[in-house]
Amino acid sequence: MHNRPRNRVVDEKELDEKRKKITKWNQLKNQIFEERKSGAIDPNQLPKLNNLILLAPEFSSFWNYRKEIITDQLSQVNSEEQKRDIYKKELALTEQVLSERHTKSYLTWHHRKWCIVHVPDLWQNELALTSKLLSYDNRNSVTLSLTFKPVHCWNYREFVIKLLNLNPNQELDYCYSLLTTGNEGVSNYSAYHYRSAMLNRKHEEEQIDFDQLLLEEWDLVKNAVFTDSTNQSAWFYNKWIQQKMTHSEEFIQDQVETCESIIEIDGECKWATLTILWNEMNSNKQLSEERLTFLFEQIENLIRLDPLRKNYYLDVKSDLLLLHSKCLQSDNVFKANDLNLTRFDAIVNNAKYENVVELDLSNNHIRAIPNLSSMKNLKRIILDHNKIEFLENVEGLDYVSIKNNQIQHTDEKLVNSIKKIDLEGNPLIN
Amino acid sequence: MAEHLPNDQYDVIISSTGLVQSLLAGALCRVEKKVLHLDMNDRYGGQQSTLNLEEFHQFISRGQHSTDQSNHEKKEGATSLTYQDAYKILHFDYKKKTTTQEDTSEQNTFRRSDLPNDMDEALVSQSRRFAIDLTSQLLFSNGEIVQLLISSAVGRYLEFKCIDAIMVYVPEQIKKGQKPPETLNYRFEKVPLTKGDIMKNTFVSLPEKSYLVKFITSCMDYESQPEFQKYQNEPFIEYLRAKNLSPLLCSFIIYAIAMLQDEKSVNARDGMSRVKLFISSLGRYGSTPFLYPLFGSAELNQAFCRVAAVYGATYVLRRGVENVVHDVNENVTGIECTQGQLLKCSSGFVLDRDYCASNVVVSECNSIVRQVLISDSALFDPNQITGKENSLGCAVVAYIPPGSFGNDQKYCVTVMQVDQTSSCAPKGKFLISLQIKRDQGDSDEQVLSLLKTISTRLFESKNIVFDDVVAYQAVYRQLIRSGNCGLPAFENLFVCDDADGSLDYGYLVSRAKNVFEKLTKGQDFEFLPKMPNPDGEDDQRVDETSRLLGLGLEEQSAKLDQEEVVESKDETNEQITEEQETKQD
Amino acid sequence: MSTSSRKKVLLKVIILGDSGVGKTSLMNQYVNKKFSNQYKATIGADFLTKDVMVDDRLVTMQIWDTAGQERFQSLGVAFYRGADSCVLVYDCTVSKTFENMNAWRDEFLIQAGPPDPDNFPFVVIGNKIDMEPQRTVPAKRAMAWCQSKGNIPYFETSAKEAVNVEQAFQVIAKTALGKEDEEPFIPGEVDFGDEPKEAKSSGCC
Repeated sequence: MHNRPRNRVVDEKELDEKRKKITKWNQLKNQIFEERKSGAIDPNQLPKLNNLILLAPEFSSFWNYRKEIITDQLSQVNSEEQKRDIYKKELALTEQVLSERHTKSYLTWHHRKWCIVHVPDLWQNELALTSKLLSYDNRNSVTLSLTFKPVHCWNYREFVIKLLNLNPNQELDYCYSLLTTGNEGVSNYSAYHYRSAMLNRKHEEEQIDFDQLLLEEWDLVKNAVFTDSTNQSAWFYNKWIQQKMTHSEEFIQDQVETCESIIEIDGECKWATLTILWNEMNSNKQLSEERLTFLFEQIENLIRLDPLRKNYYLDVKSDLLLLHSKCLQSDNVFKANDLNLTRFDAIVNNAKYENVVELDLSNNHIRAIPNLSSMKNLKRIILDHNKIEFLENVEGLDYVSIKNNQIQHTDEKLVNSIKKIDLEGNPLIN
Repeated sequence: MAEHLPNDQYDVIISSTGLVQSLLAGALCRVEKKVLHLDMNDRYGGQQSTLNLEEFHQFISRGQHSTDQSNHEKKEGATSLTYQDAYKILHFDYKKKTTTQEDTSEQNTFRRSDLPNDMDEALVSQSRRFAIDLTSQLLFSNGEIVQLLISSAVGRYLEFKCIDAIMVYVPEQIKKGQKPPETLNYRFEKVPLTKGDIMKNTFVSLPEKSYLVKFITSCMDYESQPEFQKYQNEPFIEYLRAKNLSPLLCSFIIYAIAMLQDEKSVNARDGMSRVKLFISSLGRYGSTPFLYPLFGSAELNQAFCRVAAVYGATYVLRRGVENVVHDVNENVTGIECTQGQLLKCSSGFVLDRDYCASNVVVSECNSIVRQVLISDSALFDPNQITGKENSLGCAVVAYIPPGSFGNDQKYCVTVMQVDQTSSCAPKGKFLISLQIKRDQGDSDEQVLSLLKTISTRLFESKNIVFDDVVAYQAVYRQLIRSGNCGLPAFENLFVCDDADGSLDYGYLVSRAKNVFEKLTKGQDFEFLPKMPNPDGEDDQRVDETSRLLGLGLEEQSAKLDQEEVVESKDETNEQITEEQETKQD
Repeated sequence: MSTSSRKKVLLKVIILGDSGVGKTSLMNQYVNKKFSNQYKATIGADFLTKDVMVDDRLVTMQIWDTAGQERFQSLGVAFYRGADSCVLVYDCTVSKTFENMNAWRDEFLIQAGPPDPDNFPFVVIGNKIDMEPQRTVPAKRAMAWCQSKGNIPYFETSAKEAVNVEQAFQVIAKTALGKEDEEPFIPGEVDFGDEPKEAKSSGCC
């Protein structure tokens, strides 16, 4: 349909109308700018500005001119009542812009903020307005959902909550009601995000143990992901919970078991698998051979389901391998060869390996050398037969063997800082 | 009194204003057929009648309609008809007013006095605020009838309420490792249908949530799934079990979603096609797929009749049919109506099953037994259902699976509760109906006592004494007649079968379309096509951008002064609308 | 409160009276400023809407025609529902149409069942005064009837010559508006006035 040439006559007519609109727009716009230049602070300009703003609310000059006129108006009236009326008109205009045409208009929200602080008795209404606009996010509103980005609206809501000094519980309930509305609510990303902000406030204001709050959130997430295991928003939120939670093997256990029962129902749920893996990595428990085999199978499964993120999954596998296979030869030698590792960040960032003096990771698929500064005792590193392209982070070591990698360039200063370095088999240029 | 009807040459004469006939009248008039539409009652609705309390009481307290055949002379070229009552009243009862109650009935001069003198004055004075459906019917939001209402613009006469909740009567859940109790406690549980409701639900277990969503999601293209291929001719329940659905979820699906009478009689293919119909109506207007017309289901009939009238149909209530007149070729040429007047029609004559040939004997057929209660107490608490404090009310459909009340309960009982929010009852009163299918050969007494037991026990379980709260109750049986009605097979005589007893309108709409096609054979007419738009709205509306720029409306935007600033949009719009409307013809 | 929540007032006005008294003509004259001499028992007339200013308030009048269903007293109860005002019309040249006013008024009160029937806003219109020579119902008689029914406003009009039509409907709007908010109003949640937006996806997911 789109490729078919349209009726020429209609096109001409449409074009003509479009041209007329553009001419008129420019005419009105220039007229306003002229007036402003000439320093006319005239309330009679407001109706014209109204229409122009409704057409183009992201044109900051209109708002600025408006503010000039209004500030002037405000300075001329004495009673609070009159001032209030002036602000109310501005609020009505911004509401019209936001609810009818341009919900994401940043400048309009800004103008509204500028006004609303002056009329405390109207603050309460603002919650209803944001609720109304945010409900569009959930609905199949043809006109608004295309353009609607809720972030400004949420920010504004948070701003109003602070003005009102509202208890976060009410807002938590509000988020919950959004999350449990219709079919789309469960994956309302902003509602989860806003919930996390409100939880922080609740923790601070009511002195409630944060872990306790997080456990309740985990319960909510459980319900959300059992309802819809593909619900990314809930899984992301869970990742946040996981990161904030004080280390607890019990919690990890519960997360793992929950995810496993989801996988039992929906074998293709990559988020559940990933969540298991993230949890296992946080766990201090030593995993059995059997368990590792199971997890590696899951990783293979993930790669099959989501081949685009293959490298990430292999990285996760490397982390697990390094953490759970018995690679520590003695107190100070760590050796892991022929394991198809793609990175070794896991040992670098783990206090358990602080005392390692020699690291041998030959015959893997490692692509880069991470920052090794936390391995304070490290003297020797052997990285032969890997896929490293860049020599870095090995300053000052006694011995670096990095034979048969992909290194093309070396930094002379760095090479000189190492007592002995073997770069044989790299495609070095010069 | 016996005002003569204009003897125009009608294309079609329709008797009774049941939904099939009303749809048909509207559809025929829209394609410029000349229609005479009669109804022997003094109200619209036929089998889908909605009555106020007084009318309902008249209906309930009358005797059986006698079939008086004295008028029927055997005429040459005519077949005489006999009225056959579809209803049998099994029981009625009402709370008597207390002696201390003052008689205030005189206050309202326009109250008819047909209600018994000893009836509670609170009921009598509010009689007209009740809208009691003779049969329970609901609209699927995405069903054909809603599409017809929208496309034909008939829907603008009507307002609807979304059914707030669908409930199923289920035994309490036994947790893993718990020993099941001697007798299970049953209660109504809400069937969660949207993801939001499923997430919130605390009765359904976490894994059940997954299985339920999976089932709902997958049922839009169930035909292509290998599991379905394998099970399509097996009992529906087997298919559901194969999909790992728990007994609770099976109950939800069989009774609340597929709306079946029992779990045995339907195979997976039929079950799933019903599920699909239900699911495809979800999420359009509310959290259930059902709409219910404010003021009761007969509003629909009246809306379709109105469109017929607007397009020229002649409407005559209080006039029945005596004889069908036909020619030697076995074609109906006209009818003789109750004042003896002979009316001609060229294309056909449509009749409902309340009429049959005078010589026919009613054979046993399936029927529905229905209990109607007016209660001061809700069975389903509006606050709980809507999740709001001080809720004004709610509309609920609930199902009691067979066997929940012993082996005597062979079929599912459908419960409906409506109130002031559907404009069906005055404030503080609830209209509750229970209905169950009755097989041929079952005794009326058995079914009557079963329904009474169930309703009493349902109130009991809420610690409410039935007699304390139920101000009015009636139980009646309604026949579901189909097939032979004893009339000769005239080619242009159409006898509409009774409604099939199901909640949705699918069957009735298909019947109406079927007769419409036969009556307009070879003319290729659309059934209730889109209404022509007298306003030419789309062409004339000034687009928003032009309006804001003041294009084409110079004089109006010039009028806007500063005070009117915020209102400018409204005002201009109004003026635009006004302009358009004065242009209409 | 915000301006956008300002509710537009919609008034339902129904016109009752015998067939042929000019109900449809009056409507058409008022809304469309048109009159057709050719009588056709109402076909195609449904309801007409018109926006009017009443005491600085903008109201939309929705005027419902009987669509011919009055001919054999076969108007269903749905027609009467929610009426804010009822216009009773008779033909000044046909006494019978005036005599039937009692029946129409009673029918309305029974079917519409307003909570306060004695004060329900009726307006009476004697139509066809352009045919003065044939008049059979004297104005005095009509006014007396109106007075006896609680001072119903009375107008004599000619839909044909647009006499008094505007004035009568102005009063109709005003009386209808006066009746507003008498009883709590519970709106339906769904009407098909605007076609619903297509559901984004059918089913749960």
